[in-house]
Amino acid sequence: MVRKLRKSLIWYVFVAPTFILFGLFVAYPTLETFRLSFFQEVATRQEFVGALHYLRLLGNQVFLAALVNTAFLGILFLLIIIPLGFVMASLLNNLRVWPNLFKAIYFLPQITSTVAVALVFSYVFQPNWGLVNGLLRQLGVEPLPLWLAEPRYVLTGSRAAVTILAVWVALGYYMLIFQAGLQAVPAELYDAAVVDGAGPLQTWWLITLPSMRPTFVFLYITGTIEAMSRFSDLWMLGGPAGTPARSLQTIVMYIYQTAFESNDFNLASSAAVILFVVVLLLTMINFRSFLQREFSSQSGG
Amino acid sequence: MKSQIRGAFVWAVLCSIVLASCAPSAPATPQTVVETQIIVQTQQVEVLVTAEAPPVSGEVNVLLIGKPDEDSIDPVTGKNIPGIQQLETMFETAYPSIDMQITNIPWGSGATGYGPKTESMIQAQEACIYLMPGAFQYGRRGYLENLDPWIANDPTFEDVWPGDYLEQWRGWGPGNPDNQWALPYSGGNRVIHYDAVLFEQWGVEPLSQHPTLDEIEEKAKAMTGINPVTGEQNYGYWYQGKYINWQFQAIAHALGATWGEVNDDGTWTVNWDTPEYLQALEWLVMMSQYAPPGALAAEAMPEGFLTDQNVVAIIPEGETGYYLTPFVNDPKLNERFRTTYNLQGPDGKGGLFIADPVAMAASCPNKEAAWEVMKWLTMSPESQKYNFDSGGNLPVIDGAAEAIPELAALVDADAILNQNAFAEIRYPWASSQPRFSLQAAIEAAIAGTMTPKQALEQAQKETEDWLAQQVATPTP
Repeated sequence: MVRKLRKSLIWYVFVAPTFILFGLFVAYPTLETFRLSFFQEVATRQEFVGALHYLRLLGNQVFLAALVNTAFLGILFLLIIIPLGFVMASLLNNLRVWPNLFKAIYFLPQITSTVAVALVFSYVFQPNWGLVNGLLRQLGVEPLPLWLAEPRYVLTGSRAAVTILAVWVALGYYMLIFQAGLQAVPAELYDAAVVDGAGPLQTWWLITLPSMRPTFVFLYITGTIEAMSRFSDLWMLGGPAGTPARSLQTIVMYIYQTAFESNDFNLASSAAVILFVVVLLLTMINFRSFLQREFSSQSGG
Repeated sequence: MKSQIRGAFVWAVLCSIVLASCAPSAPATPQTVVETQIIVQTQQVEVLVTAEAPPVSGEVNVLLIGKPDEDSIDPVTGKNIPGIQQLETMFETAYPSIDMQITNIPWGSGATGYGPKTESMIQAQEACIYLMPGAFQYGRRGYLENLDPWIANDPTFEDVWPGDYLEQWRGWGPGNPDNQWALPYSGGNRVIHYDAVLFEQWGVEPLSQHPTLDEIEEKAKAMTGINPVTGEQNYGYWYQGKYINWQFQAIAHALGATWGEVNDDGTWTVNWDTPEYLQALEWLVMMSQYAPPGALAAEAMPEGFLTDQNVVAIIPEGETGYYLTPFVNDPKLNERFRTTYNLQGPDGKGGLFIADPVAMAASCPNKEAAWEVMKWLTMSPESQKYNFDSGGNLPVIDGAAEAIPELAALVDADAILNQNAFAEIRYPWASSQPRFSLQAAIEAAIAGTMTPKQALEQAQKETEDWLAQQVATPTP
C-alpha cells in the first residue's frame, strides 16, 4: 500500500498546485458564502440568524424581479444564438475559401474585453447620434427607436439591444463548437444518404441534426449557466440600477449591488446561494431531460 | 544542549507574550506635544530647560484611490502630473519621524472597483487611514474610529473647511448615534452649466447665479427647437438618466421635500411618496420633453459638451470631473460654458454634497501617528494642491483656491468653489436599496411606463419593505 502510494506520489505533486489554487480561490470562497448566508453582521461581529436572509429574499420583489429578468434575457439569448450559431457554422463548414480567416473574424468579439464591447455598443445604440439610429435616419425611419433608453418589452428596447450585443459576442464561440460537432459526423452517413437518394434538406434534417444532439445539449447547458450569471456588460450599460427602469437588472447585478454598494454581504451571500441552487437545479433538469437517452444507453450497454 | 536552547527559546517567547499582553494599551485619546518646564538650580544660575514629548513616530499605512503611480506629463497640455511618491516625500519632509506607506488603487468599476478592495483591506486590517467615499457604511458597521475625542483633545486641530463640510461626515454608529467618521479630503461639486452662446443665439437672458425651477423651465422651453442662427435642433434641458436620482433630489429639495431621518437606533424613516416629491417628479417628467431623446440612458454630460457642437442649453448636475480640468486648461471654454449654483431649497441648501473623506480604521495600531497623517492629508495646503495637480480635484479647505491661481481665475470661480458648502447634508441611504428603488421609479415615470404617482408609491412600498427588514444594531 505504502509502496503504491509512494509510486503515485509524483502524480499528486503534479495536481497539487491546481488543487491548492482551486481550494483557495473556488472551494473556500464558496463555502464561506454558504456560511455567511446564515449570519448577520452586528457591528463587526457575525451572529447566527438561520434562514432569515433566505426568507427576506423570497419576499423581496426586487430580487424576484431580477431573477425573472435574468431568465427572460437568458431565454431570449439562447433562442437566438443556438439556431443562428448552427446555421452560420453549417454555412462556414461548406466554405472552401479562407474558412479559417472567417472563423478568426467571428471569434474576435469573444476575446475582446466585455467592458470595451459594452462601451462600443453604448455608442452603437445611442438614440440621438448612435450608429444604428444614424442608419435608420438615413432610411427615413421616424420616430427613431430609443434602444437603451426604452424599458418596455419591444423589439427596439433595452433588452433587445443587450441581446444583440450578447449574440454578437458569443456567435463565434457557438459557431466554433458547432463546427467541431459538424466535422465529427461520420462521412459514411452522408455517402449512404446520397446513395439512398436523399436531398440536401433531407440529409441535413435526418443526419446532421440528430448527429449534433450532444453539441446542442452541451451548448444549451453551458449557455444556461452563462446566461444566469450575466453581469459585466449589463453593469456597464445599465449602471448600478439596471437602467432603464430595471430592465437590465440581473440576479448577479443584484448580488453585486447588495454586497458592494449596500455592504450587506450576508444578504448578498444568500442571494448567491439561491442563484447557485437555481443553476444547479436547471443543470440537473437539463441533464436528465436531454441526456436521458445517453444515460440509459450507457447503463444498458 | 539543544534541548536547553530550545527550552530557553520557548521561555523567551512565552515571557515576551506575557509582557506584551500586560503592557498598557495605547491611549484612546491623542497625545499632543507637551511642553514641560524644568527649573534646574545650580549654585548661582537658574537655567530654564524646555523639554518636548518625543514626536509621534512609526509606520502608517494609507489607502488612497486613483492617484497617479508615477510622475507623468499630460499629453494634451504638457503639464507635469505628480506621482504618488511626491505626496509621500512632502509628508515625510514635514513629519520625518512618521513613515507614511501609501497603497494606491484605481477607482475601477464593477467587480474590479475600489469598493471590494477597500472592504478586503479594512477586514484584513491592512491600513490605518482610508480614502473612503463610503465612510458612513463602514462607520455604521463599527470599522471606523470616532474622531470626536481626537478633535477635542488636539489644540492644533482647526475646522479649516467652509460651510458644513465637517458636519457632512457625522453619522450613526453602534453605541453612539453621532460620530465624526471622517475628515473632508478632496472635493468636487454638482453645479448647473449653461451654454452662453446658445442663450445669445436664442436671445434668452443668461441664467441667474441661483436659478429657480421656474426660471429653468421658462428658458429651457424657449430654447428647445430649431436654433434661429445655426438651423440645428437645440434642446433646452438635460438629465443624466442613470444617475437621475441626484438631480431629482435637488429638484425635490427646491420644492421643499426632505427624504426623512435617521432614527436613534440607526434605522431610517424614508418618505418618497409625499406631495413635494410628486410635484418634483411631475416637473422632471415634463422637463424631459426638452431634453435630447435617449437621455434616460445617459450617464454623463450630453454629447458635444465643452465643444462647439453642443446643442443643449441648460445642463444640470455638472461634475468637476467633467469640466474643471478643461476649464483650467482652456479658459475660453468657461466663457462659453458658464456655471451657476445648484438649485436651493427653502433652507438655502441644495445639490449633492461631493467630497471624498479620509477615515481612520478602529483597528489602527498606531493611532497617534495616523491622526497626524490624517490632519496633514486633509488640512494642509500642500496636500490639497497635490490633489488638484494630480487629479483635478477641488481643494476643500478655506483659502486653498488662493494657493491655486488657476482656480481663482475661473470666470465662475464663486459658484465652482463654494457650491459644495451649500450642498444638502449627505444622504445616508445613498448606496442602499431606497436609492435604487427611487431611481427605478423615476426612470419608469420618465419612460412613461408608470405615472409619477404610481412610481412614487412603488418606490415607497419597496423602501418600506426593505426598511422593515432592517434590524436595529444593538449597542455592543
